Amino acid sequence: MTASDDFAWEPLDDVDDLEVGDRRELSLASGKLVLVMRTETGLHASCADCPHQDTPLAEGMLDGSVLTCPLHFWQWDVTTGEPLGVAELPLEIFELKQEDGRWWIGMRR
Amino acid sequence: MIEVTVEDRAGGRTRFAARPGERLLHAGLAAGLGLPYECATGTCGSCRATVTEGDVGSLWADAPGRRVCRRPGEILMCQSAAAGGALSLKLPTAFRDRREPECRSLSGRLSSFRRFTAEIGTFSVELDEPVEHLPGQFALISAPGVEGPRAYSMTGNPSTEPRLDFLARLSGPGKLTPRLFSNALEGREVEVFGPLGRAALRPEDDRPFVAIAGGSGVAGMLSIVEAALARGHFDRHPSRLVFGLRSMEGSYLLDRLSEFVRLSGGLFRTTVAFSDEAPDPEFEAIFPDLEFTTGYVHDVVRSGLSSISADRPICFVAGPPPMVDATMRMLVVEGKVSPAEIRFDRFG
Repeated sequence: MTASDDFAWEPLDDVDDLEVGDRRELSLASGKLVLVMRTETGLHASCADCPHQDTPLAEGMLDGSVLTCPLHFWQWDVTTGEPLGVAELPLEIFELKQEDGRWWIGMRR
Repeated sequence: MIEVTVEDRAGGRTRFAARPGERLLHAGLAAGLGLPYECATGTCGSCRATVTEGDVGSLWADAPGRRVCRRPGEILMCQSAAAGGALSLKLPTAFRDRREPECRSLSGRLSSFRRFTAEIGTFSVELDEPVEHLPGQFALISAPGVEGPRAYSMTGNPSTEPRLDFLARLSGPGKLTPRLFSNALEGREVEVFGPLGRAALRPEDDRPFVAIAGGSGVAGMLSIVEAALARGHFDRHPSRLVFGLRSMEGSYLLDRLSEFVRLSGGLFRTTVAFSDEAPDPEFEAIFPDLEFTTGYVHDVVRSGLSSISADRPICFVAGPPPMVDATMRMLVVEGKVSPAEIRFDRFG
């Protein structure tokens, strides 16, 4: 179990309107870019760029829980970051939580 | 020679030797290493590496693929040469399994340029010795006085003849193809580096295939189909080509594709899709062995997606980047085809 204190939490605004299948690149207050996606199982967040060639994953395809990079078609399960198909590296996934009606994203300290 | 050490993402480490001024990608591939690359001509950025020790010289500072080099020390191996002293590189990916014939540099002479349309032609290189390649692979050709190598796909069934046949498309900023089209290079000495590319038919492939080609992307498909015919592939596995062209007037090689269909006894089918116009019945009558339709190739393939999902064929995709990307999206997202089942080449 990961303690909430292990993370630095930043507010995540502008995600409530995301519908299933939608994804959006967001710039956090810290300057970090993340990709927020909604699947049937809820909201998920990953690094914004592909770990292969830094391609913006917002330009990729989200089908169910499978995210596909548009450049070399690396794929991941966005609920776990597990690589699928030809992907050689996992996708960094960030913790999310909802408190007082607001979404927060956790960066490991 | 300069010693180059390469470490991959997984920590695997190996060495190869490069001549001063030699492209690092070429030297590494010729040494049998599974270095990452796609276009090998500075456009795609797939051969990015980080220099962790030593110096390199850039052979094309404005290469489009350099857009992926955003951090200090990042280079494209296809556009960089060892500058002297020991050199160490770190790859962002793992070494690839080498399943293709060895790459090497050969010399030869250009011959037999033949123009089909304003922008499409074929030519040959008579080599000093035969070179082994897989159907669907490409090679880089460098000519004296023309800066940098240019990639062309082999169009024939690999043979023991010391000759390679290529398709050329007149487009973009390349300086070699315009000189081919002006016949200025007939008989000239050139250097050939290859074979390259993984969108190839392999000896162990024993499944049907769907080949999807846009424009000059058909070059490698010609090689694949000819090789498949020679090995009786279609008798066991009926297969298909979808060939996208803009218009009837700009069409080419349809007589050769017709011959392939006839030789296969109809077990190899070819659909020609014109994006800009509907096929004329009189035009269709000239090529009774081919099927014609209107639309973009990925839309034509989409209409047969249920059979792709059911038959699990090998999918070959080659053509200009927008066509390849649209087709890949359709196959992966709508057809649920694993990218591992698709062999693609983007022709920048």
